[in-house]
Amino acid sequence: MKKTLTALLSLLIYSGLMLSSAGCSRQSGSESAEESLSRQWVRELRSVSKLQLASMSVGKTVKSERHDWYKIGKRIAVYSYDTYLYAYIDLSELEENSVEVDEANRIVRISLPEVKTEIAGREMEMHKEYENIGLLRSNIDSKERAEMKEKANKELMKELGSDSEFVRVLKAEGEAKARVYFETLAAKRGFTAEVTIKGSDSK
Amino acid sequence: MKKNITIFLLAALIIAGIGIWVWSSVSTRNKEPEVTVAPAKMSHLGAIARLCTVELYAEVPVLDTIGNKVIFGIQKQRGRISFDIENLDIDPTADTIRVRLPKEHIEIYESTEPGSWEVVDTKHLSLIGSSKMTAEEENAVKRRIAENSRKRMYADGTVKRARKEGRATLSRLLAAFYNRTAIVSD
Repeated sequence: MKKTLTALLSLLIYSGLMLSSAGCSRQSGSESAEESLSRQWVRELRSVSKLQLASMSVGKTVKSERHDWYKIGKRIAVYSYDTYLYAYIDLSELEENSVEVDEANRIVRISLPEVKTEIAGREMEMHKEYENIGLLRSNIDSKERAEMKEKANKELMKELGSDSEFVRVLKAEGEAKARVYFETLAAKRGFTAEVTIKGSDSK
Repeated sequence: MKKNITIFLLAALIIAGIGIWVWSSVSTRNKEPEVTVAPAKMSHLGAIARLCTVELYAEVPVLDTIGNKVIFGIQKQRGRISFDIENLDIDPTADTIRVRLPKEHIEIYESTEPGSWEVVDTKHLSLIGSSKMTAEEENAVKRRIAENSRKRMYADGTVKRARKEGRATLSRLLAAFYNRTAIVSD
């Protein structure tokens, strides 16, 4: 009996020691996991040389609605977020003879590369526009909101295709700004600027 | 006999009712809520003149606590550093063009690639309490993510690199336009 009790006590002490050391290693393991989590997994940095000429933000609104006949109360949520676009010229495409100065006539002739457009990214936050969740209904969680944003994003990418009205408007705004900007720079020098932009319909 | 039949019928009705309720619960559990997306609307359009010299892409693990709730997710970010060159103070009559590079403009966004915000898990720190984060709580986490990314850009020399390249690019642009030496200072 005494031997059994001693064995049992030893086993309990041993188990306790094992559990506490596992806890410590789990804790220190989790600390190192947290430290490693503070680093970025992927990081790409690149040098660019872009003159941004126009910016546009496009809003998307997404609604989740669910009706179950046997459940009391509604479950409706509406969120919105913005996506940002830019029109720009790539200055690395400027050639040696892109700027021609006619001193006699006080004219600067500038040939600019095509004004392009790109999506810079989307807003991180999702703004709650409306929420009506019945007392007995489950709340919208983070995963569901992420899925809603994903669906909205997918539809937006289709809407922002290269021939979309948004892109056309942005490009036109960018081209107009390019002319104004370089005309202003030339005017400061006492010159008149003649700006041509590759691929532009307007002059 | 009559009593037995009544009891049997009542039991059958109750069992049938429970069965219908269970079937409804199971069949609708897998049903997703209806998600509808409104057409995109332009909320802002403006002309700018900003020189962008650095672009950044990063995949960032996010582990954060708001109140008693913890969230773990993975975010794909796109960032850029640019400089407003709209109103540079230039003396066009000087032999050498001298300007100062303006303050950097840092933008950090969520990428528009699929799966750019993936919520892996949320939990409550106590045994009771919902693990679900509200939109406001999640937005607070997102604001911290952006702030941390911004601080990281300063700490790891990304901003310094962007400013160095900004000076070089602007100097070349002004030199080409004014046909004289251009010096851009920090």
